[in-house]
This record gives sequence, C-alpha cells and structure tokens, in this order.
Amino acid sequence: MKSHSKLSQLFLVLALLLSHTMCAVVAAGYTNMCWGIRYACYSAPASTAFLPVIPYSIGILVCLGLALVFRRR
Amino acid sequence: MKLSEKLYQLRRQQGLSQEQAAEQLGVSRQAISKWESGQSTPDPDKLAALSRFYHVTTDYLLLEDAPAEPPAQQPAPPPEQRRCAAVGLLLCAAGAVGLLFWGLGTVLLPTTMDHLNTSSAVTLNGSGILVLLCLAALASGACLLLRKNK
Repeated sequence: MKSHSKLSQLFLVLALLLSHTMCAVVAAGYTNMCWGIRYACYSAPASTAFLPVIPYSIGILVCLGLALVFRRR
Repeated sequence: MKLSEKLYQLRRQQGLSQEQAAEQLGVSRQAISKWESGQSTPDPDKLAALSRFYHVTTDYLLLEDAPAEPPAQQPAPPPEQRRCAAVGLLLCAAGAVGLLFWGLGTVLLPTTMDHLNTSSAVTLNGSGILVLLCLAALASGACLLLRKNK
C-alpha cells in the first residue's frame, strides 16, 4: 500500500539522519574531551565520548527495523 | 470481464504503478504489462500470489462470469487499531526527532545543554533523562505500530 511505502521511506530517512547526528555528536564530544584532558584536567578518558553511540544505535536499529517491516507489508 | 482487465482494474484501485506492483509481487514490470494486456497469463503460483496481493479470490480472477465488483476487500482495521498505530507512529517520530534535537543541541548549543544537565535533581543528569525518554518513546511507539490484534 502507498502509506506503508511512505512510512518505510520516512523511517529510512530518520535512520539516516540519526546516523549522521550520531557521528556529529561523537566527533564533537571526542574533540571536547581531548581539549578538556589537555587543558582542563578532565579525568575521564576520551573514549567516553563514544557513549552516545548506545542510544543512537538503538534508535537507528528501531528505525531500520520499522522501515523493513513496512516495506514488506 | 477478462483476467487482464481485472488485473488492471485491481492494480489501479490500489493506486499502484506497474513497477510498484511488480516489485511487491516479485516479478518483472514486463510480466505485469503482459498479463494486463492479455499477451500472457500468470502461472498458477503467480495467480495465487495475485489473489493474495489484491485480496480477491482466484475464482474472481479466473471466472469471466464472476460478479463485476470484486468480493469485499479485506475489512479496514478497526478504529482502535488505527488509533494505536497512529499513536505508535507519533511516539516513534517523537523519539527519533528528540534524539536528533538532542544531538544538534549538544553540537551547536553546548551551553544550553549544560543548563539542561544542571537542571536535573537526580544523579542522572538532564541529558540522560531526555535520551531515556526519547528511547522509551521510540520503543513504545514501535511496539504499538507492530502490535497485532488477536
């Protein structure tokens, strides 16, 4: 049906946007952490900047899953 | 009405192009075109697939003296199910958009996000609560969208 096809495309676009946003957030966080470790005495390692990957990955997987389900319907 | 005319009418009723119908049926567009123009007839397995796809019986497709109107289409989902699907869709969209805005805020408005973090009264800061809410909205929306009535 047309509506299912549009929903599938919507969730695909959302997954794509989430993936781009995830990359931007991780990159910004990582550079911020590197600066903070060098100049502001941050105690956490720079790898903590990768923590936002967890919620974004869940969101991307949910969106991709829904896109697949609606594509098949 | 001939099989070819019925196939054409059913496809147009659903608002599909030949390419879309072919994609969903797993055949080529040329096959759909040939079936609808009467140049060829579908195999029995394809006939069964067409019957399921258009929600009509094979009797309707094959018999020329079948009633002009196809048998009653699959009944529309009850209003409650449609409401659940709409709510689920809204929750999923809200969760995904919330995550997008949180990410954009983190990158473009770090001072605003700092205020959000310090506004929380519990150990989990404001950003974490926002992310959890977005994920909960996504998950519950997905459950509502995928739920099937028993």
